[in-house]
Amino acid sequence: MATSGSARLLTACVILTLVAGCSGTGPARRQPQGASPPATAPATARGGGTPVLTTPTTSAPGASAREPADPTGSDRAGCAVTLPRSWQRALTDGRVDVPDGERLEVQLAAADGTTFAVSTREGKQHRLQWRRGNQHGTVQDFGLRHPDWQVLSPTFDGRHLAYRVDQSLTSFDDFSLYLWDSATKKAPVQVTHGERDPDGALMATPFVDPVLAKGWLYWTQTQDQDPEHTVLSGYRIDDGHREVISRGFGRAPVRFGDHLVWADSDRAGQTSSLRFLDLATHKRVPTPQALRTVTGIFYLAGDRDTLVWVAGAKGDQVWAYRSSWSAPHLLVARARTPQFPHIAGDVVVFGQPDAMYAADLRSWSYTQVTPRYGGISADDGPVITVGYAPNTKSSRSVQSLLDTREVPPLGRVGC
Amino acid sequence: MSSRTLTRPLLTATCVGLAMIWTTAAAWAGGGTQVDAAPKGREQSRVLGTPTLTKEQRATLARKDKAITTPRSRLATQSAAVTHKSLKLVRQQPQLRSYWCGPATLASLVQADKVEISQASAAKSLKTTTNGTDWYQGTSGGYPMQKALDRYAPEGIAFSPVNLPDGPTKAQKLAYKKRLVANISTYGQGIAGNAVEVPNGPHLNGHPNRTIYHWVAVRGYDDGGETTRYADSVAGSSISWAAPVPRYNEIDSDTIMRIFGARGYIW
Repeated sequence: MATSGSARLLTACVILTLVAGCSGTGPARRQPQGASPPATAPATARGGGTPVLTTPTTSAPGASAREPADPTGSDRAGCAVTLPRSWQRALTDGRVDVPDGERLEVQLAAADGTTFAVSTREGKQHRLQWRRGNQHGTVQDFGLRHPDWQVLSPTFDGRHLAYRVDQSLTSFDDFSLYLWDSATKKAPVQVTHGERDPDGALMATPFVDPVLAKGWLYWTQTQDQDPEHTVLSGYRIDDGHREVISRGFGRAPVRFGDHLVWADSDRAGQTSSLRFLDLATHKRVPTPQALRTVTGIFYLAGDRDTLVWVAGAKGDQVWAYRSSWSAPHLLVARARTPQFPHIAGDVVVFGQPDAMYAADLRSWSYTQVTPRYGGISADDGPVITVGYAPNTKSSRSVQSLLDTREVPPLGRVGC
Repeated sequence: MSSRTLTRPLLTATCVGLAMIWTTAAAWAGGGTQVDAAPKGREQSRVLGTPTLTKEQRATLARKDKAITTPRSRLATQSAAVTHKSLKLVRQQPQLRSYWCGPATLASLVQADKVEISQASAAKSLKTTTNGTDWYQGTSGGYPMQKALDRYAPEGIAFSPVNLPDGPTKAQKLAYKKRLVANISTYGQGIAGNAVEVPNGPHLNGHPNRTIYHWVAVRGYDDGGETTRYADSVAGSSISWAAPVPRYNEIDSDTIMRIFGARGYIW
């Protein structure tokens, strides 16, 4: 199976190289022709043995290739390029092998080589596991009573793991937020959960995407029997002390340097703008001048150095800002409903209905990573987790880990 | 809500729900709780038995298909002439319970005929439980969504269930597009779609990459049926955080057919 997959992959690489071009008009218009789904995906997951969850190893490019681009002074959006062979090779090498009979959903791959994945063996086990080298263990055992529980939005700061468990196959509001300490390896702590309105119904809530920063866990949800507002809360990990930081109409916060940032508005139904909080003091601080005109944010992602958001009247623009830049810059224009962006160092990943994409701040270009829909994510680290569309709804999905430190920039061939 | 044939009496489900409230309330006190008694809860959009069509349902489906596919028929000509259309009367309704995507979809769709029903009434019509709204309830229960739509439909309109395999065929996608155009532009009716989204599979706009069972109200089309317009009851309210899941959406019709795969749609 792996052999035939490799052959298909090689053929596809050649075809893609020959026919795919760079239109520079946005992801929606750049459709690599002749790229059938199985051809550009890594070979199907192989069976046998213990799950192998290692970050891929590929030849490192020259240091100069990793110099972050500073697009200041340019008002041009990023350019679409074909997925480079080096990236394709790295995706193939980074394929996650899964034993027969097991369903493994990689949730997060950290910079230190730690991976977190949900392992399911029907009728036997369903648990969130951690793995680093030859070591492994269980973060949370969901047991067999909860085959419908799903782990989402995990984030790892090198010691603590925060993650959401969606407990319903229909609802986005029936969730729990957990915190796990990899040092003690004790059972995770349930920090919060979906709350109910006065009638006992679960309140609709923004997606609870936790943030870990400077010894605190932050998240936003509806609570206190008030479905009309959202509450940004902080949880001090050392002693479990809680603080309500902001009450308004905001969505999930992100970390950006020494700040917590979120999109909020003064009244219901208003266009959102960015809010900044100093992580050290928990005091609101003015939004930097360069970001004061940023409004109507559909999605937001951040890390220590980069802020990325989806905006535009039609939600079709991906913007990026770094603290060293004088202004935000349009990374991808006229995208087709870009969603759920994540940052992996100099690389920004996001999904669209047609496929998963990666944009490179070094080369100011972007590429289609998967041949069609799938999954793509990152967690404030260099490793991207890529999921390829399964052949059927009941079949396993091929997954791959790509360390962005180990591949050259996407480049600008054809721009 | 899933295809698995797990059945759970309503009483049990209610008890589990109450137990969940108690457990989570206890867990909320204090700074955090070690996980030893995890909250319980399961919602399944069930398929009970093997979905089949009755003789009457097959006849209705055949009659409707014939009307829209016969060359130069009045309906086929009317449908072909309109490349895009939306039913403005079919307005999105945020679901009032986490498991009321079905009732919200029904309440939206019947607006096409200027019928206003509450989601609570819709839930009663659909026999919705905390397990959600079933796609198929066996030979005795049939298709709850089809029955409910028929109940509110005007004279001369009959809804038909269409079962789909996991991966719909080209012919099934083509048939859907023709039915979509005819239903909207000629009959003035929407379509109830039962979605099954899986990790790394296609998802409805703004839905996270996880397994989701859901109902949506298809209310229009574009590009002669190549694009489907639908209302998503997940979209919360007018407050700003609702943006990631828009009230009204467009999606490639082939893609939404994949999403409806393993369940189906009612047209």
